[in-house]
Amino acid sequence: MKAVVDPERGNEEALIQAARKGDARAFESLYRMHVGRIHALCLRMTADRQWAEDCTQEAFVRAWEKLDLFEGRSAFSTWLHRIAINEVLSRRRREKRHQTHLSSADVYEDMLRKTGVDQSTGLGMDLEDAVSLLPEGARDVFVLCAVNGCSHEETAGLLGIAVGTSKAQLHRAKKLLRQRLET
Amino acid sequence: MSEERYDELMRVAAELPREIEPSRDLWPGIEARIGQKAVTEPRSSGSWVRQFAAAASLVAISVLATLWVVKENQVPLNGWPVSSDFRIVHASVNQTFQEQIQVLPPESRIVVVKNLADIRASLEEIRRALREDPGNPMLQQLLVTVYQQELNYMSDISQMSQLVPGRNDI
Repeated sequence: MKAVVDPERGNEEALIQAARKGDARAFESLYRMHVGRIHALCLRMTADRQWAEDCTQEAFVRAWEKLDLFEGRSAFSTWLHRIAINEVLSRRRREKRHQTHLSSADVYEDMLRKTGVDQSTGLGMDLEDAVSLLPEGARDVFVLCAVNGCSHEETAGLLGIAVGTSKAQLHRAKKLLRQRLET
Repeated sequence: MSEERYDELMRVAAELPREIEPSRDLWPGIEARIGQKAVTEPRSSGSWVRQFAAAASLVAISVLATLWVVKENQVPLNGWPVSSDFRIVHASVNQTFQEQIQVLPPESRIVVVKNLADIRASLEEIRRALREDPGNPMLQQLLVTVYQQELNYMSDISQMSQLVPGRNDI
């Protein structure tokens, strides 16, 4: 059975303090508290289960290494999300695995024209699947804004893009998703 | 494409699950990576007693000597300035307390938390009085005494919780 975790914030702060002092058990509790959200974020950004798990694992290792730098000015979960996003983005730069997925709107839209077949019934393609097929830039912004509820300012800060770019990518994502979901 | 359809899309997206568990437990891999740096503390009572003895002696030396006499390096604790040494000791004892009360039965934990809340309410009353009369030596002494009571209480409960049999001990 996994560790029983008290989600109260006070307990989280105590766990952070203990982990800072080298207590791996405390850090494991933090991991169990947050792994679901971090993995969901990585999975949606990468659209690749194995890659998402690698990024999730690496994000927690980095968090352990950087715990001393966590000043508590933001929520611990926000800090973890930032590390995870940075891990996904840096892996994209390092590796080319993401090229197995569609990497540009042109390719995606071309695919729509060529296939255009609704493989499910009634409501069209599942939203999760449709999001996974978005171009990376649009997908990142859609996941952060539409799924995770970040503002454009927050999204731009997390992804290292301009606010205007975030707005444009969200519009692009919504347009592509509507096209796909209505086929 | 109408704005209504876009709004619907955003609404559906916002309702997607925020948490998705990985297909496998990632912790063993993380633990292996951080293992060399981690200080995985054994939970034997002998180890804890040594820690407690060290903390207690540090408290005894530090509290009275540093809380009011040493005015340098003062830092806020619950909105009240105390010496940095005292704050470190307080944080250490409090952390141990927070860990140890988790092993207490729920009904005992409720009583312990309530008692500590009462002590802390007293501290707040004294601090409020001191804000109005900062130079009052009786209030200052009372504050030191109740701080000491708070530390003693947390330490005593932490020590007692070591005597509670764990699941593996039954």
